[in-house]
Amino acid sequence: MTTKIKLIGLHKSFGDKEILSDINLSIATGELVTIIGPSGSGKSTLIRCLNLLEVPSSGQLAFNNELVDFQVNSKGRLTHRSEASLPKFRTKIGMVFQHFNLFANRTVLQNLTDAPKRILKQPAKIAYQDAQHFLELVGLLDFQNQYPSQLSGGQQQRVAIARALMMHPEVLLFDEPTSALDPEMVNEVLTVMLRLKAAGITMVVVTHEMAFTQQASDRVVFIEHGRIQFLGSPTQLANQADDSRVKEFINKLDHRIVLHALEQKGSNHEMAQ
Amino acid sequence: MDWKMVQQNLPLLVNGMGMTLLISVLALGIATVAGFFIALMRISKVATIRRIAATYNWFVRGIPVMILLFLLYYSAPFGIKLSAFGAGLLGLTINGSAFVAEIFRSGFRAIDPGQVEAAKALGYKSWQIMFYIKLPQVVKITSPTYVSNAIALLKESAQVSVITVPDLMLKASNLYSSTYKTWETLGVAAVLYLLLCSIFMVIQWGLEKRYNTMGLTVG
Repeated sequence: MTTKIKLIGLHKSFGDKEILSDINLSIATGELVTIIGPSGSGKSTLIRCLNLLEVPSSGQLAFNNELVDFQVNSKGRLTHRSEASLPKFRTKIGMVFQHFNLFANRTVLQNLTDAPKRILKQPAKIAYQDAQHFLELVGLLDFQNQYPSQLSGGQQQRVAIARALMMHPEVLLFDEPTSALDPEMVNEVLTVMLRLKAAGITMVVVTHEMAFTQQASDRVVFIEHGRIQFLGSPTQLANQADDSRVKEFINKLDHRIVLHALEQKGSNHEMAQ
Repeated sequence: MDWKMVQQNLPLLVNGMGMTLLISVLALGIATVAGFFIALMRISKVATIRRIAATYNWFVRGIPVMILLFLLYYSAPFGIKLSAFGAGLLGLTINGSAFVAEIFRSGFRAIDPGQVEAAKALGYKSWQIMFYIKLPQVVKITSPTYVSNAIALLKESAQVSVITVPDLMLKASNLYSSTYKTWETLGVAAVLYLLLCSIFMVIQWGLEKRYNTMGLTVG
């Protein structure tokens, strides 16, 4: 399998605080990699480094085995030259955000067709046909003339996925795509993501959905205190020792454990009476 | 009320109204362009540029327009001699630009940073983000305050009469001084000002209606 995108010796700090240290991660074409970890562990920063929305303090990023050229000035921001050269690279990497970030003043259809028309200079007719195709894929054909504020969270997130697909990206990044959704809307978004996996799109997903992580991912990254503590397949993850950090973290996500403990407490109480 | 006198004075007052409209619209136009760039300076990444713009706004907003007009007309710096119209237009423009700049700045600050990030991730260049993502929303967000400010500017333009710009106010007060009839002169002028301001208010009403049909809340 060929490597699609790769982080080499990546560090990121904000002031004195180190957010990511020595991250080495390569993602193969067609692979689905999930990133899990406690809040503040650096997982969002990590995924945002993949399209350089966040600028690494040091280290390199390779895309299709070519180093992405970016330079940082003394203030830790991208130089103007890099800022000017990056948009072209970013068109190849789609991103879906926790809070959807749809353009509020544009209709669903315009949210989809604006970028291909303006940036890829796609003819309006092609962009429109593409939009119909992707809206059908996410099941929102009937909503194309609505404004984002008229849609539910789950619908907005599906529009956001369709918008990212319109650029025909080689990689799709998902930064906690279901964390801002009401529980009953999570599945509709996960379903669309599974469809994309089936289509063979390379995906990197930051998530707290353990069922999705275990069933859909090819590999799982567990990150804590800015370091990769575990990297392997879901099966390898399941075989980790119960007292490993990654297992402790996963157990914290399982709310049934608490309820189970409560139940036992209850029955002990009854027995005592 | 002496209606005959009103009728006699009307052409003179309407003539002054033309001057009021001309100087206000010109000042507003230039102040809008200037204010936009000052607002960009206010949100610049470079601290020095931010400070220059903030100082300008602090200074201009804190000085009465009338003093500004006197200073420009009677003793403009560098030995420049301005006509009454030139000094009046410059004074209103300088004053207006600082207020417009603050209005635009508030609009820029109200933009959801997530949308800007989404645009970046899609591959928008900086100028495209400004032109396609930020500007349309700034216009939308700031339109009620902007129009209110335009109305204020139009009314404040009456102060250019003190440096002899022949506007509606000057014509009306001259008529008053020679007749001592308040309602027939200043009263009629008030109605004419109200008429001019109403044009802006109608524009504002139209804008808000348009944005509301777009499923957006303005504010």
